[in-house]
Amino acid sequence: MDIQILDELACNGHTTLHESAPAAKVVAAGALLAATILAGSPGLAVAVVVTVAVPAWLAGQPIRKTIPFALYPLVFAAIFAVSVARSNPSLALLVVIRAFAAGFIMITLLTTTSFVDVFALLGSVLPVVVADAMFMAYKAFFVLMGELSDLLVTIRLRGADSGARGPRALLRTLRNYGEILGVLILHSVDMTERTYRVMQVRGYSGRIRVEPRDRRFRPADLAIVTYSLGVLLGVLVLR
Amino acid sequence: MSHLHIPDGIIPLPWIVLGLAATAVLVAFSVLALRRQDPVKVVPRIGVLAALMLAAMSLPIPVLNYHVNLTVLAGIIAGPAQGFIGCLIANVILALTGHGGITVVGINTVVTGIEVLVGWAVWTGLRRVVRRPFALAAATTVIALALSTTAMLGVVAGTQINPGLVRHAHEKPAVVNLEEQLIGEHIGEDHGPEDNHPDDHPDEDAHGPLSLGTFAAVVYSAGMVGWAIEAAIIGAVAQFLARARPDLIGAL
Repeated sequence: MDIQILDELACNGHTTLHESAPAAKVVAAGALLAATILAGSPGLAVAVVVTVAVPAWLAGQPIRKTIPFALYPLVFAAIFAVSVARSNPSLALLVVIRAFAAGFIMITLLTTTSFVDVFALLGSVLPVVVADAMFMAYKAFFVLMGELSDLLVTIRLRGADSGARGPRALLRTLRNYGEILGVLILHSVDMTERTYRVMQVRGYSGRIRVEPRDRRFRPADLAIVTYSLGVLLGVLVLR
Repeated sequence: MSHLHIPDGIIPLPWIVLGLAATAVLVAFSVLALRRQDPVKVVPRIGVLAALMLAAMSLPIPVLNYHVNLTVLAGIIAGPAQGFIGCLIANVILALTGHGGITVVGINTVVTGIEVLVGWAVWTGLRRVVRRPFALAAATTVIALALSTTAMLGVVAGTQINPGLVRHAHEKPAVVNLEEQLIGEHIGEDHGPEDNHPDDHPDEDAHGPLSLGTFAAVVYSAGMVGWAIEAAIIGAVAQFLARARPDLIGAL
C-alpha cells in the first residue's frame, strides 16, 4: 500500500512545503484541484500541472518519487479517454491530463503534510465518531500491515506458495488469504479491546483532540494560498 | 469491482454534490444509530475495521490486478452503521492517495455502502437457514457485489460519462453530454449537442465509442471474475471465523 511511502515522505521531508501550515496547503490543494477540473482545454490543464510541479520542484520536492503515484489515476482515466478518443482526441487528452493533474496535486499535498494533520483539519467538519475513528484507522493500518506482511512470509515459508499456476493453485491461494484475513481479524479484535482499555484508562472524553503542528499562518503560507487562488482565477479567465 | 476508480474531473458537479449529500445523510443515520453505544467501544472498532479494509487491499491477487475490499465482511461483522462509516474512512484515505478522485468520495461511499448493507441484510436474514458459512458468505458477497456493480453502472449511465449513450440517442438527451459537462463547450468540434445524431457517426457502432450495453458487458464480465475472487476469500474468512470465533459473525 502506498500509504506507508507517502507517510514516510510527509514525516521525514524537509522542504519549504513541509514547513508550511497544513491549512494553507489544504486550501491551496482545493483551489488547484478546482482549477484542474475547470480547465477547459488540454493546454490549460497542462499549464495547471506546470504551476504545481515547478514550485514543488523548486521547493525541493522529490518529483521523481511523487510522479509515479500521480500516474495511478491514468489507468482508469484511460478507460474514459478511449471511449471518446476517436470522435474527440482533444477531450480524451484533457481527461487524461486532468486525472494526472488531480492525482499530482493530492500526492503533493500528502507527501508534504502528514495524514494526522490532514485528518485534524477534516475532523473539524466531520462527526466526532468519524473523525476519531479516522485517527484510529490510521494507527491501526500500520500495525495490521506489519502483521499481514509477517503472515504472508509465514505461509510462504511453510510452502503455501509453491509457485504453481492454474485455477486450483489460485483457489488454494485465495483460501489461504481467507485464513490469513481471519487471523488478522482475530488480531484486530484483540487490538480493539486493548485500545478500548487504553482509552478508558486515559480518560477518553468522546473526542480525540489533535492540534496541527503549527497553526500560525506565516507570509509564506499566505503566498501559497494567494498563488493557488491566482492559478484558479487565471483558469477561470482563460477558460 | 465495487468502487468507482473514476479520477477527478470526469463526474459532473451535480452528481458529485448528490453523492456527497447522500453520504452525509447516511453518515448522519449511522451516527444516530450508534449514539446508544459506548463511543469508547465503537470508535476503535470502526477504526480497526477501516484499517482492515485498507490492509486487505495489499493482498497480492494474481488475477486482473484485483484487490479485495472486505466491504461485505464489514457488513457481516460490524453491521450497517459501523460498516458504512468504516467504508467512508477507507474511501477518504484511498482518495487522498490517488485511488479514485477526492470528488468521487461521496459516490464511492454510497456504492460501497450498498455492499455493506446488502452483506449485513443477506447474512443476517439467511444465517439461521443456511448453516454453511462458506457457501452463505460467498453467495452474500456475489449478491452484494452484483448490486453495487449495477449501481456503479447506473452512475455511469446517469452521468452520461459514456458518450456513446448520447450518440445512440435519437432525440436530444435530458442530460447534456459528457463534453458539455466537462468543459461547457465542444473541443475540436463546431456543432452543438442537438447535432448529435447517429447518422453523423455511421461507423461508430463498429469502431467508435462504447455503448452502455457494451460497457456493461465488459464491466459485468470482468466483475464476475472479481466477485468470484472476493466470494472465495470472504467465504474462507467466514468459515475460519465460524470455527475460531463464531460470536464475531453471529452463531450459525
